[in-house]
Amino acid sequence: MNQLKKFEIFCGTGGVGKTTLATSRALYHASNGRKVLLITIDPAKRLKDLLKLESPAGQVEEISFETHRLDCLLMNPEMTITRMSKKDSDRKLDENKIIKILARPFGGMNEILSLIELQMQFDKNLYDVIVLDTAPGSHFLDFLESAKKINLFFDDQIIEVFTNLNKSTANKFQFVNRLISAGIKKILFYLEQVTGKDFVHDFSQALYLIYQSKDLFLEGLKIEQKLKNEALTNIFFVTSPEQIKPEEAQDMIQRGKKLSNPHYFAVMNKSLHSELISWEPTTAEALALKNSLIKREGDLNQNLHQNFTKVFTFPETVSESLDENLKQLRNHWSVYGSDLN
Amino acid sequence: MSFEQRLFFFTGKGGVGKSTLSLEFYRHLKKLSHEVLFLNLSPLKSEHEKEYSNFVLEDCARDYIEKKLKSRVVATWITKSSFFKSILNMVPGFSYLVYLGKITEMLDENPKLKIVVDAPASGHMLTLLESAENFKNIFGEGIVYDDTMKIARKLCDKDFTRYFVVSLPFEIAWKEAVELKNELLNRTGQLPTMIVNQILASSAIDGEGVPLTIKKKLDLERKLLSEIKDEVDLMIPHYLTNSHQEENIAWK
Repeated sequence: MNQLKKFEIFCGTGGVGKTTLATSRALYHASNGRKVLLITIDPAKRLKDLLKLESPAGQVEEISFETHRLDCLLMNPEMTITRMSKKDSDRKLDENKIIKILARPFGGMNEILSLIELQMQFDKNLYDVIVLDTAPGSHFLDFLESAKKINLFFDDQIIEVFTNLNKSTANKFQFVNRLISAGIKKILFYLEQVTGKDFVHDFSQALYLIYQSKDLFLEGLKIEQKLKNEALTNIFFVTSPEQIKPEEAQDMIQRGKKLSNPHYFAVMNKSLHSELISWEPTTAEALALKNSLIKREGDLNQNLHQNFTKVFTFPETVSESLDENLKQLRNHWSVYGSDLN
Repeated sequence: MSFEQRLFFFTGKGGVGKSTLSLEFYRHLKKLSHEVLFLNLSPLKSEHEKEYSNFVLEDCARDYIEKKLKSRVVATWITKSSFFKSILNMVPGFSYLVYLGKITEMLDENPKLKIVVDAPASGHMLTLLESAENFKNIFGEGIVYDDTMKIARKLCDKDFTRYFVVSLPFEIAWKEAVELKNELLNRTGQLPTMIVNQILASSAIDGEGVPLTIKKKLDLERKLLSEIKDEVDLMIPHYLTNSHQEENIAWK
């Protein structure tokens, strides 16, 4: 019997219903009496519309759906930086110009900050399960792959520069001097030739602050190990026949395999198959459409079955109301109750 | 129809057919005897691999540094350092800036060249656009600042850069495409060309036998298309891209 997982990750290209499906999964857990946190890093803010959230991004909000309660968090990288800063009052990450700019919603630090956020939420020990709706595309999986490379940033040689620095003597001049003594000197020297003089100062200060927070960053990167661990994490690769070409699914499959978590499952969302086979078109054009749709779904289905141990199929939902669609999807998870805890 | 701009970005949600359409647009420009490069900046591997020109991030960075510092040895040393590599990994916006730098430089060097970019999906496209703006603010002054300014200006120049947003014919997809359109307008002052791809509905498919879900789907699609038809520049039927007849797309 499978243990209840700590993390469930939903990834896939945008528009396949990833956020809706992740939400339905979280609601399914909630309806089974579990304490759930749903996090979305989808910059399109679909979750906000779907669950009519009122809090600004970056704050956990408790919502109720029918009789169940659920915690939700829209990722906001700026808030994550602020939270990281608060954990230690000397570490003013949110006061450095470079860090502030990069932590904007489209600044490009979303992936690493979402791992750190995930770790911080996990450490609260409040939740039975955390459901994560990732940003569209393969970026999140790419990011998990590159987590090791980021560790290099914190490699011993560089970190050594900082070990002798203590809080009372750490000012920017000493810091720059230490940097210089550590052979990063040349890079900074060249930087100074091609950028403004303030840049080198801001840059050194940013590095200083980040290295001071290295434990938080390294902790965050460590969560990558948990996400790769089948005992702790289910990963759902969400596809839909109307969106994705089998070749693109293939690519996600390859990336997924590198994660080496056997609990990497496929979800075929918005399936029309059962409807299509019962259709007897009367015009040639309708027949052509029927055949084209059946082939499209069939190709994807075959591809998924060849590459994943399990494929979960969810029917297309076309109710006018979002809540109604969510309920249908939530209830559909119980069909797979014995495969997934 | 002629296409005067030099740089073309195709963006939109993942899986809407950006790769297919950008490739087709690239072929179209070639047919009009333009000198064109096709570039993939979305991380997905694709069946079109062999038609893409690939830029290697590290090489782009090295070439740039070499040019500025006038030393290949130093440039190679910097880009090979684990410190530099991990900054590229940690800050994807910086990688985009390096690519944009390479693209604008190539276009500068060869005034006849055009580049079609299979760009990253929505959110990452905005990261790409913001990278020029953000790094401009980060660098503050100096040669790198001037170069970044130049890139930022070109991305806003409607005679130089054109944007295409690809969407699908259902409400959520369209809503996101409109959000993207507004973000592009805010950041570049330009209205992108809006494309709706994979349109299923056609008047010949109707009547009694159509299963309920499919009927509802087609109805929703027709309703949406009639509401948005004035905002859409190009509608592409399902059959064109699913039976490999993309060459019949009427680009404008």
